[in-house]
Amino acid sequence: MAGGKPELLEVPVILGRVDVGARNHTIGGPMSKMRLVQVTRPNGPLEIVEREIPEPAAGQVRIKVEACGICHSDSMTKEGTWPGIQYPRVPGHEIAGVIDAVGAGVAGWKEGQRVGVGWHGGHCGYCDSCRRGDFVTCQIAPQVPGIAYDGGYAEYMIAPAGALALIPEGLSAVDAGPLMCAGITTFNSLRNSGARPGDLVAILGIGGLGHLGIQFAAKMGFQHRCDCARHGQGTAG
Amino acid sequence: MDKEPLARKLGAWSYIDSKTQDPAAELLKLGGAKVVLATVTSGDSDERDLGRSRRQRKINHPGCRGRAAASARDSADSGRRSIVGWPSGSSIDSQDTLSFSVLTGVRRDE
Repeated sequence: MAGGKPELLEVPVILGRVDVGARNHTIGGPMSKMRLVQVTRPNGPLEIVEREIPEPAAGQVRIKVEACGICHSDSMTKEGTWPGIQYPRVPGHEIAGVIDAVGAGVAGWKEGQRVGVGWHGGHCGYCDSCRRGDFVTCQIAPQVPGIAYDGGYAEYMIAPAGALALIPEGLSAVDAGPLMCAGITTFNSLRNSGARPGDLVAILGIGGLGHLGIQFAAKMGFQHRCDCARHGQGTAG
Repeated sequence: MDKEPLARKLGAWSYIDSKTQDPAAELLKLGGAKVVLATVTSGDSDERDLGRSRRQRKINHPGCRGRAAASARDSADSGRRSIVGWPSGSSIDSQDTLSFSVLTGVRRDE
């Protein structure tokens, strides 16, 4: 479809989880294939194709994806509105899964750990922002999964070890996925907003971000929560 | 669609329908908001919601695009208000989000 609305709902989706099916693979075997959803050009269709399962390079891990949230920002990959996207590209940056292979030189992570990857999908480590510890504003190589490299609409994906978040016990992959973008964005902005317990905080919009923001605001103890719903408008996330 | 039941179910203490009410005026009746977390993509809504109060200090902007900063600039100046963008966070912030959510029961709504 040229132009117009994204076709995100044309892929099999179950409540934000990309259902790529349950299939058994022999990891590392010569015929190891995975299924994924890719876009081959701006405004091109979402296509389910098979590819070789990639191997993690130094500093990377391979994740067996269990769930991936659908974010409004995925439409930038679909429609080509983020500058510099190289196609084909696999969308998806609300990823939850299990580490199933670890590349050389990775410390602190091992196979079998449950991990998530979100909008912050890696950073250069040597630009001014990174040297100030502000990785998400990396000036050299801000790496968003699904934009800078292939993301979570796939059975397997590769991610830099520095982009991993450990998923705690008691949180399912389907619940963890959306928290990796819509969740962190509202949680982290609220906790850095300067509001204190008892303050009045208003959440504008009840969409992918807003419905989590309301919960975070309530649980953070902002005594008065107030939600301004604007009907008929899109929400981010 | 009436979103108030969902808002209250998720923990909202009060609800303002900005289609039929003036959000800034309603917030002022409650004492003024310390922070407005804007999750919609329209700049016009920010201007209305920030509007006209010295007691409404700050507006956060995850996911915002376009005209918000320009449209709300004039009203921000006079009250020492600020508009702040917010780009999610790094991987440890994500991990904090997951931990907080599992501890407090924050979940996506189905």
